[in-house]
Amino acid sequence: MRIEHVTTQVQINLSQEEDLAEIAENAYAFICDMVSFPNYMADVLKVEEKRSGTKSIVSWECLIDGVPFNWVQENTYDGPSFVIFFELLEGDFELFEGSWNVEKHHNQVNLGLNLRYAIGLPVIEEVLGPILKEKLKKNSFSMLEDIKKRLETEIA
Amino acid sequence: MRSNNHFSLIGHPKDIETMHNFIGAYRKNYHAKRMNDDLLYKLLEWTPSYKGFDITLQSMENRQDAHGSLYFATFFPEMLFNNREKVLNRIRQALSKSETEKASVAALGGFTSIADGQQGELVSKVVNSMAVTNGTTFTSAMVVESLKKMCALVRLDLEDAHLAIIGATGSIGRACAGYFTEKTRRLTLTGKKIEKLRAVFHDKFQEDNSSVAYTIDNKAAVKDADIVICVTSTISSIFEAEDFKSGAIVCDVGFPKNISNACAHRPDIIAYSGGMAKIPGKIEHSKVYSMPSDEILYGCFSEAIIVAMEGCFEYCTVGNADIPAANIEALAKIGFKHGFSVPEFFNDQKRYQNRDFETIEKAIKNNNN
Repeated sequence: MRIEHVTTQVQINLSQEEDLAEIAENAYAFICDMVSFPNYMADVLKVEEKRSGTKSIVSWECLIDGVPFNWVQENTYDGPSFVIFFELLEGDFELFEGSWNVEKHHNQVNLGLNLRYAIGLPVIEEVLGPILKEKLKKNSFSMLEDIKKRLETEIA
Repeated sequence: MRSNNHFSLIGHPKDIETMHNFIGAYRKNYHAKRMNDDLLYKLLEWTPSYKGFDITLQSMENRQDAHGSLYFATFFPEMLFNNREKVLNRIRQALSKSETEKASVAALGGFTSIADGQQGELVSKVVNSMAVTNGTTFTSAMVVESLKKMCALVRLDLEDAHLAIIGATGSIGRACAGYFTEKTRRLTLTGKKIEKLRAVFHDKFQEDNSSVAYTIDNKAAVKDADIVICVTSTISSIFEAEDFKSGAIVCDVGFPKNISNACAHRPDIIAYSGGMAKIPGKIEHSKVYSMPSDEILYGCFSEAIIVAMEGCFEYCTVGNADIPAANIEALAKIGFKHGFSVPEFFNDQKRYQNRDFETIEKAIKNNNN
């Protein structure tokens, strides 16, 4: 199994008048509200969530380059640290796990998505690896950008 | 100058199911929750052609090892209809990689030999020093030799038989038609266009030759045939069990198969996978890579290995040139010398045994009475 890592981050720069803590809290709330992702992310078709305390089961129906990419993950919410860990329960890939995080840093808020995955296609994954990594990086970045835009609209 | 005995075999996945089986062979519990077809198709579309695994076979004649690799051109046959140029580039990629790895000869298997519409002549231009073959000569040799063996088993007189060749205008069809000229009582040749059939065989058969018939109706062609050679490039089966007469012998050279699996359940016909060779040794993981078995290989791939073992690059063919019967016989002889042979008779569903041959022999006798 060839395990790949994709780390993506976007920055939201704040003016001095803006409240860093409040923006970070809002950003974390937006990420937690995954069920609303299809409303403002073109490649996320449907997200369903069953929440139970600090954990939830989330079903995703997404598109990658126009084709369906589906999975079910378990989220673990660490509210005080603004981190959501996720683990694959079932899906198209053999491994799909990682974390969403929000970081406060001087006068900026960083939104991050760390992904650890394995497609589980023997032999092929060695050749496909770099190509797929690029596509997943683009998708991850696009999701974070969409959250950032929504947040900036809210701030404005 | 080509001096090594390193060969390259270039194939492609037959269909999406083959890919699922390939993944399932490595990934635990994969079949319980398979990747969705669209995603798998897309992943393969993104994947450049790649090397699957290495192969070593020893010649039975001189005990020398021939080394080679199986390369996958990453396309499914149906991709030819919607993105032909991409398919051709994938084949070129596999050829270039083979040449970079110092292969002296590469065989184009399955649709890699017909994708360019020129039996590999166009795609092979991408390489300089490596010989390329579409494997027509040895595949035809295995069709011929397997039919001779089968006729002996079921006591069918080849000279008195009605032979139908389905897909006769393709390279193997033409080679077989050329070979069996004057060797059978009646020959029926089919193709997509009657004009092309007449044009292709114009030099071989006189217009008034009553023992040769041309038709575009495949089912009508096989209805009364004692022996049928199927070599069409369809992506699904074109014949059902009821299309053949009792006692018929069907040699299915198609990839994917031209004959429905249902034929295996009709005891009074034999529909076997043709154009295959038993190899001198074993190829591991063959089933995982949708090859027939560890000991049986496609004739086209066998051709490259034989050429590498013997150094007889003059038998490599690409393009639409006719293959002389003498070349078919000569390469068969060279192959046998190195330990290749006609395999047992089988198809995807069964291996034929003595009682099957006896049943066919009886059916042939009934036809003659």
